[in-house]
This record gives sequence, C-alpha cells and structure tokens, in this order.
Amino acid sequence: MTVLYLGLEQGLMRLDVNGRAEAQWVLRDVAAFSVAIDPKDPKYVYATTIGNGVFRSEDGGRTFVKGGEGVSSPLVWASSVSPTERTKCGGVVYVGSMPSAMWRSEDGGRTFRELESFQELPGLPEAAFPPIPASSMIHMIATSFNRDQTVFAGIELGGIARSSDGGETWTDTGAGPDCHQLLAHPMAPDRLYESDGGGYCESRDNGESWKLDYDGIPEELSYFYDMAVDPGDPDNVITTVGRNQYQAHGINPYHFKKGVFQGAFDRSAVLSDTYATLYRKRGNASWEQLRNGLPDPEGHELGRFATALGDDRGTIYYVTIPGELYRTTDGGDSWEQLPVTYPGDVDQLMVHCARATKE
Amino acid sequence: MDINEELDHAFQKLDDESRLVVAFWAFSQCACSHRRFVGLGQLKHAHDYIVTDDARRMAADVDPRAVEIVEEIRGHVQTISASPPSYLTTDLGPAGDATKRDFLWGDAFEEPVWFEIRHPAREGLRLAEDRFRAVARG
Repeated sequence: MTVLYLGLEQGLMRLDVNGRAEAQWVLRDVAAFSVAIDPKDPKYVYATTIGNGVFRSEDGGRTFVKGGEGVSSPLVWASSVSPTERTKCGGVVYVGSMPSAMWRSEDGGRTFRELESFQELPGLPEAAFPPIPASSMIHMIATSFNRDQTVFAGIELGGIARSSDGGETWTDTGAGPDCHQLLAHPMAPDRLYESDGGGYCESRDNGESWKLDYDGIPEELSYFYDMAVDPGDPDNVITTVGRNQYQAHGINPYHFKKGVFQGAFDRSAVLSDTYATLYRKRGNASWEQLRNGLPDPEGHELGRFATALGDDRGTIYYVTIPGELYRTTDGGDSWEQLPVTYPGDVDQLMVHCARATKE
Repeated sequence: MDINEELDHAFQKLDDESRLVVAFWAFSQCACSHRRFVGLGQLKHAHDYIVTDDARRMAADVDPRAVEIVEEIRGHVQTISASPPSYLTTDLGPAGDATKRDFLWGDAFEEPVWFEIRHPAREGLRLAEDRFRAVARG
C-alpha cells in the first residue's frame, strides 16, 4: 500500500491509498509546508511548518510530536533525511528556514544545531523571496543517495548551495536562482533535478555544472514549479508549468496591503485566469504536454507531486491545491482520479506539499 | 483576461499607503525577480509613484529615514531613466521583449545601481510595514 502525506494550510493528513484513498488528520492547526520521510526507514517522518517549527513521528506518520529544539526560526520551509548519514534514530535530518538558515539533527529531529557557515555563502544577502523581499528562505533540500554527507539547499531566490561535509561548509553551485523543487534519484548517481521559476535545470555531476532545458515548452510558459521523477526511471521527469507566478498560484501581488501579503494563498482572491499544466521529458526527447485524464489547465493552480521510493515504474501521484488526487501508472501517458474520503471537518483544503512512501 | 491590464487596474485601486509599500516592495526585489516582474509592469508602477510628491508625503508619515530612502531611490531612478539599459524604457517599463524566457537567465538588473536601490528599498519596506501595522493597531 502507498501512504501519502499532504501538507496543508490547515495541518497534515495521512492518506492510505489503495485504489481509493482514506485521509486522516495527523496534525491540526499548523501550516505544513514540507514532509520528509526517512528513505531507509519510513517509520521516521518529519513535518515542518510555517509558524510552528518541526514535528516528528516514529510510527510511520500516525502520530506526531513536537521536535526541532534548537531551530530558532518558527518558519521552517524545507526538510530532508539523509539516506547515507545514519544514526541510531534513522538518518540525519536537515531542515531549512526563513530567513535562510540550515539546521542538522542527529537524534531523529529532537534537537538541531545551526550550520552556521551557511551564512557565509556569497550572495546570500542579495537573496530575496519576492513576497517578502527583505528575506529569503530555504525552499527545498536534497540529500545525495550516493555521496555521504552531501546535501543541497535550494534558496528562493538565491540558487542552490552544496555541502560535501554534512553541512559544515557550503558553496554555491551556480544553478537556477529560483529553486522550487530539487530532487535526487537513487538510480541516478550524482544527478540533480531542479524545477526553477525560470525553467528546468539538471546536473549530472553532483551540482558541478547545470544544463537548462526547455526544449518543447511554449515561450509563454516559463514558470516551473513542482516536479516528480519516475521512481523506476530516472529519465522520466514531469513538472508543473504555468505562465507566470501569479497565474500559476492564483496570486495578485497587489492584494497585499500595508505590509501583509494578503491573498498569497487566498483562493477567494485569485485571478480568474489561473493556468497550470503538466509537461514531461523522457530521456533526450523534447518536453511534451500531458493532458490525458488531468484537469483542464485553465482555471487551475499548480498542484503537487508525490512519488514513493521503490514504487512501480511509472507510478506518480498528482494532487491539486483543493485536494483532488490523480495517479498515473504509465509514466504520465494517462491519469486517473482516485476517490478520496477526507475528514468532514474542513471546508476547503489548501495543499502545500505532498510526499509518499510504500508500506 | 490580460494579466497586465488586471495588475494595472489593481495598482490603481491601491490607497497611498499601500502604493508606497508596493513601490518599496517592487524596488526591493533581487535581480532574478526584477527580470521576471519587469514584463508585468511592476517597476513602472513603482517608478511612477516614487517620483510623485505623494510618495514623499506618505514617506514623511512613516519616518524621516523613509523620506531619505525615497530621495535616494529617486536619485538612482533618475540616473537610470536618463540613460536606460536596453531592456528598460525611461519610466522603467519593459523595453524589447523582457518576457522572453532567455531574458530570465540573463544578467539584466545586475548593474551596480540596482544593488544601490535594493537595500535601502528593503529598509524602507520594513519601516513602512512597521508604521502602518502600528497605525492599524491603534
């Protein structure tokens, strides 16, 4: 069975997916922006929140308790568990915050210490998150499957930094500056996939060099957001693509007033011409649009992907912002909507992230 | 719907306090965001407001430092307007096709003057936000 976690504006849900999906709240009244599942021992699950720090689970995400002691920012956007750095409590956990800072835990997420040299990254003072340009944040973290102590931190907007010594020292990799998703793949040593606000970037040499690739993407679609790599085929990449950040997320930048970015995640205030679609790249072929079984791109915001380590080749999940669940088992050629039973105590879901594991 | 028209319309509806915040906000962006936003007219909106007397008056309501920041940004904007780079008009609108994807990966907005604008604009944004929040709290 596949277990799907949905990080929501209203909390965190755990879904048992088996032809249909049953959702249960496992955290309430927190804005869950990232979920990290230990790739070697999925009973360890972590959720990070905007406003309430880090939560940890040791029972496969059925229950969560507060963790994250030592993380001084409550705005924790990103997390990852190392497949190579192992402790008595699963893998080393990395989390990243706003303002941009990196933290490391060697005790299963109970306590963290700041990786202080991250602040010495050249260019970090210039990094800026557009809605709050006086600050920036770690939007994504990826840990290498084949290089011990190698971790990557994607800064929005500020590029991708790499550490090869467990976070003690960092260098800028020269990747795209607007990191929205950053993935490694267990079957593709030294390969990194970045979905960037300006396009798609890929590295095949552990982040030493990056190649932009938007061959086949129409000129008017330049805003890449989430991304999935086929769990059984590292050459099959699917991204969400929109026209620009406003139509992609349903944000009007002028909805914010007097310093409060009101409307950033307010669906009632979205522009009426949202547009979100999926594109796939297989091997050296050009990007191709995916439509079969998916919602109409017009009128939708960019959704979120989830894949489970070790899942069957071609199996990828896609969740829309209000929580419609789609699955492909043929690498994206066709999609089916899976019925989901959500708890009845919430009017409108707002999905921030999705992650999956096999159980 | 044309998103540029929608954004123009939304900007025109803002009150003066919000326009000052939005102007500081627009000038605060990093180079990559400026490259993306210029095609949507956000810098032009910021330019058109920051050069007005209303901007100075509203900044005076915020803090004396906010007035200094407005003047500082005006000076830099006038320098740019006098000799705009190829990708900008004199009122910081998009020249050429600033929405092309390759433009997003170029080096526009990385001239030193933009670094001189961003940091005071970020300071101004903080001051204005703090002031207006305090007012809102009574």
